[in-house]
Amino acid sequence: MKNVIVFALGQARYAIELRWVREVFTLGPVTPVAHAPDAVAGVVNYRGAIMTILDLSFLIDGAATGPGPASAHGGEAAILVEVEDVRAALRVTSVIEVSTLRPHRRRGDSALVDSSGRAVPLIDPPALLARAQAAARAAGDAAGRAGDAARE
Amino acid sequence: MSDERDRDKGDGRVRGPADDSFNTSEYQALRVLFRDESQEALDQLTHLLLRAPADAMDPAALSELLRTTHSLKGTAGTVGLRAFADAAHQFEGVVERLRGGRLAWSARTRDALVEIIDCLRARAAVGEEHGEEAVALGALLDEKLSALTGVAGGGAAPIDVDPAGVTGPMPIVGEPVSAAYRLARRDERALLRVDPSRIDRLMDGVGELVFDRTRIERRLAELRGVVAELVRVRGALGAAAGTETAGPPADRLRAIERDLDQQLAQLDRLQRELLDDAAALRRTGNALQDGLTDIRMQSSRTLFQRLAPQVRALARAAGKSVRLVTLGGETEFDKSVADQIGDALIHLLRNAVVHGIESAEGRRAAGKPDEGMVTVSARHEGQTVVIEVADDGAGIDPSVLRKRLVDSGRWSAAHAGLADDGEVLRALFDARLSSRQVVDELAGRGIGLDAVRETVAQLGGDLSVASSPGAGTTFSMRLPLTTAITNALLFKVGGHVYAIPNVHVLGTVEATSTGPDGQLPGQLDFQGGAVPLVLLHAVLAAPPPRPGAAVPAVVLDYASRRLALTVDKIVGPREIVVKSLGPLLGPLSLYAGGTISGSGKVQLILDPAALVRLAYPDAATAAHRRSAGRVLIVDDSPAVREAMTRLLERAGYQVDAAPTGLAAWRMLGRARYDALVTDLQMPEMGGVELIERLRADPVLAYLPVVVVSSRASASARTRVRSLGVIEVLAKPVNADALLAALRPG
Repeated sequence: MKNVIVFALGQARYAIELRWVREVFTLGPVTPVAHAPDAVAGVVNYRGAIMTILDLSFLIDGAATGPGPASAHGGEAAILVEVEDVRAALRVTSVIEVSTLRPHRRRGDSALVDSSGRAVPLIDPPALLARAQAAARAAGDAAGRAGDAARE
Repeated sequence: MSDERDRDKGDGRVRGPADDSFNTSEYQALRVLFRDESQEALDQLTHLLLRAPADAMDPAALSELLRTTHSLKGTAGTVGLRAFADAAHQFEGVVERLRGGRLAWSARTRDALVEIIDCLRARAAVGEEHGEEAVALGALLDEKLSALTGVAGGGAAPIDVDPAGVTGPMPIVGEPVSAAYRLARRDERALLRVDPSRIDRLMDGVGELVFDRTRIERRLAELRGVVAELVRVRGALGAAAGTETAGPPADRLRAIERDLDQQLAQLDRLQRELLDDAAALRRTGNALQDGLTDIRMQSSRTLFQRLAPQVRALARAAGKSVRLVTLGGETEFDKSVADQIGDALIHLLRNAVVHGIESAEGRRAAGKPDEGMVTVSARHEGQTVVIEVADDGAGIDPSVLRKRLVDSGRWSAAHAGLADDGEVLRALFDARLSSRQVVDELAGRGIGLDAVRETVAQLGGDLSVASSPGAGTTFSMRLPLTTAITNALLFKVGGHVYAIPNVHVLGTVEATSTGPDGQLPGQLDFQGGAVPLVLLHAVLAAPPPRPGAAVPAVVLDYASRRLALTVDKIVGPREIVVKSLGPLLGPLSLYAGGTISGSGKVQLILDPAALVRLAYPDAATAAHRRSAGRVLIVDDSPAVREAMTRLLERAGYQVDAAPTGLAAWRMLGRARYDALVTDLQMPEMGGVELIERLRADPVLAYLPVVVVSSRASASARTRVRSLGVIEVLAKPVNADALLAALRPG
């Protein structure tokens, strides 16, 4: 059994283990960041610090459509996760419930079963953040190389 | 305190404040303020006296002397320094006599008056009523004043009764004033009064240092990558050399390997030393920043001084009885922060007095004393200072607020269920809740809180609220203790505000289209020189400015290179708090960090170093351009690569080839190309993804691309055309069609 937050991303449901979640909050206005990887929806002010907002639709293979383009006015839900001091907020369509779910018999750790018997894919924040970080480094390297090219 | 108030009763001299305005600690803090303020007034008096010629005193200067002395006396009385006020009163009497002609003006009078002012200066520096120094100085002052006015004794006599007959040249006291001078001089050493703008300029320099350091650290990370890659290449070379058997080629390879190892070891050492240097730079920078911030530190007490009268007035207006308690007055924080949160603090107090504290009847019903209590406290928590405004009023019930949020449709039931009480209360800061038409207690508590939150956010801080129904509400402002504040120019591009450090901004100009097509020029005239114009709109993926319109441009100077950036609108210079973009976005070289606007939005700070690289694709590039150009061919078929290379080389192009999109992407990063010819279906990275990457890159976004493909699906064709390729050609490629596509224009 796992303690999870169940959330909606577009029409699909996903779950994330509570141990990674620091907070659920309402997004303020999102500032887009040009040249950031696709998975980055932008940045927001989270209690005085700058927080990266990740767009899950770019990070989950075969994910349903995400919440659409980030709203300049905010008001959407976000789940703040933390893995080894790296924090990021996941932009979701809506938060559904906090619940304790059992693993899916055939899909092992990758999915859980909700009260109505449906399979709910389980998100893996360490893998997610590692992927986002790799993408960001690649984007940064590209920008650095582009700069070098411009200097030649 | 009461003895102080009663001490001089009945002598007709200056009175302290009639009401019970301040407690002992408040008086102490006020006197620190008075010390600074009085020095200015006394300097002005000295200046007026010394400027006057020895034979005649200008009536205007005399009036000025009187005015300054009078206001000094008033201020001293206000802060409870009665003895100082008395001395100032006597000095005022002397000046009155000068003006009335009852005291003759001479060089000696002037010198005596200057000496008295020196005594007053020392007296003000002591900053207290009693104590040895104060008493000694008081005696010295009395003596000098008496000598000047001819009144003997302890100086208790008021000046307004003029002793007759003192009109001749006045006697000068032979008494050495060394004690007073010594005290005054010691004070000069101890307190250096500096124009805050000078410190701000230093602070800007430190801000720059932070940016520079970030850049160096980013370069170091890149260098680490290059070293790792070199080690890998060295490994591959070793493996390849291993397959060679004996003989001269193998020996040569071993020799190269040894050389390479030596250079690698050298590079590794340099890299480690550079890391140490960067760490040292970080330490020094931090020490400098801490030191400067320390200079700007002031205690919360100064801030709290202003609150007591406000609370009294607010309570009177609300018809409530409220007591203000202040705690942690010794807590220090940045003066610039303190200057800016004064209004926010008063707003929170108003909120507490008007909406937090119940009426006397309400309090009695709840079993509380009639008098409400508002506590303002300051304390340090790590690198932040926490200022709290707490009331012992009715409190806010989160469940009521939660229901309100759901009923009004602002939150979903699930959201409200998940959010803890803290987040529910946080909704109070939202302007939309407090601007409701129905004004009730709950809505009232939210009024103006969005403005408070704005102020706090601008300073890089955070506002939170806690409440327990029936027991009271506490608002906490968490503010940074040390802030990396820098001056920046803010401007708008594509609906978003960006900042650039002001030290690099030379000015702003207007770019106007030159050609008939409404295109902006590649260069602008600025101060008699040509400056390259960078279309910042393209760099930031914003819609381009309307053709034909005049476009504002910001002219920068970085590392002795000038460039202009197109923007939509200049917002103006601002003091901004620089924040890191965090581990995920830190590697993006275009940004030096971010800042938070008054409305709580993140604004990105552009790094001038990255922008200057965009504007100066250097001389080597120009040389390439003189040839037909340098073209990169990408195709997974070696035969096609070879064929197209020959074809283009014959046409005068310099040609490189890559087998995959990924390989091409790497090569595009290392050298500058004038055009790209690519297949679509390739392993590792296909043509579509490669073009998408190019279009998202600040430098490569406008690289001309020709697609040559045999199996391009209709959707892929549509996709690449939408990405702005010059031409989509079918394989086998027609030589003339390819050359025509590559020809400029």
